[in-house]
Amino acid sequence: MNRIEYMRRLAALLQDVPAEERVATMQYYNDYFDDAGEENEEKVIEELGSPEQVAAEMKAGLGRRTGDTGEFRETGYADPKFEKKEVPVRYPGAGSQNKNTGNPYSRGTDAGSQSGNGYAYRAGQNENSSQYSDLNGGGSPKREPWTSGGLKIVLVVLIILVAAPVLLPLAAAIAACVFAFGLVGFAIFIVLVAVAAMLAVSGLVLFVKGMLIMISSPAEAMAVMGAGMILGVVGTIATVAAVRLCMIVLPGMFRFVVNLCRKPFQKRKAAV
Amino acid sequence: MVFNTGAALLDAIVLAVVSWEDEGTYGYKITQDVKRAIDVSESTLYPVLRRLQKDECLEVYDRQFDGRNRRYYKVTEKGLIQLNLYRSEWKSYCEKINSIFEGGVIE
Repeated sequence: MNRIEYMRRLAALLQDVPAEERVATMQYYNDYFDDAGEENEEKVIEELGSPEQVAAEMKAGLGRRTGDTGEFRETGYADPKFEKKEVPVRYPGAGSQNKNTGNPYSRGTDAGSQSGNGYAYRAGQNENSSQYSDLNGGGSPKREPWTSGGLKIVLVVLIILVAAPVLLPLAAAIAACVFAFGLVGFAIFIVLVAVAAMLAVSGLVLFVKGMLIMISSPAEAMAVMGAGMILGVVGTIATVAAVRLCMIVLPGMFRFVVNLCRKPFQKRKAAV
Repeated sequence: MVFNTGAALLDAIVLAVVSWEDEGTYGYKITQDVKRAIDVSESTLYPVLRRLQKDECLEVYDRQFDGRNRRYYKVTEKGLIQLNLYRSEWKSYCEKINSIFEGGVIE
């Protein structure tokens, strides 16, 4: 994996975090690669760990972000990877010591609630996040972007509701016009084909009629047959040309109408 | 390393490293400096920096370097206060731990 693949993978993994966080993270690691230098690219990739790991830690950081109070205390932020590596084998049941080591560090009033996981020799630090949310006093900050997104949706819905009496008839009228124009265009080309085809068919009919009077009046028959042949050929050419024209123009028209219909929805999507 | 580095200690170390430079410093250099003291994973530091930034202990700005924008981190007023708090806490913590290790009595 090279740097570009690494960054691309990371970007893909961060699709579910708010855009602002994603951009900041991507910039950080882009800077990191730049500052490490091209010659250290492989080393950096090795040191950073997999993109999955980087993304997971970044997301864990988002979730663990604390509120205004207590963020710098000896609360449970800890890298689980670290913890496992560094647990001394001789302290398997050291969980009970936590309270003792934690207290000298707590400065706040809620000293009792802190168990000082940062210094605890305890495996299974994964419960940290739940402990953290307790200290936040409710309301995980990770949700913030989603609430504002929800608010936006509500606003848009409100605007649509208020504007509906004007917008809906207007939209209907526009849609009807577009539909009518489309239909007329379609009809014009169909008629063109039909006329050309009729020309060819009437040429054929004249030719047959001429053949029928061949015996009774040969001169007339020759004239009628000649006219029929000319008409038939012209009609056939015109039919082919009209069909060709339809094949070129109709799909284009169809696409135009579809795009026109799709446009308002795309805009709305982008606004939300 | 046998002793693990808690969030507060990690915050303190990062704040201290950033505070060395009046002009601020950048991600790669912070990582290298922190790694001189503790065996921290490279991917751990970004969340720490981001958190400190959100807690207004660090501020960021972009500056041209080598034909590109490089993001610099700088300690804020609040960050300095926090760092000093960490320093005094760490000092008393060390003293207590030392006295225990050396068989003394906590005063």
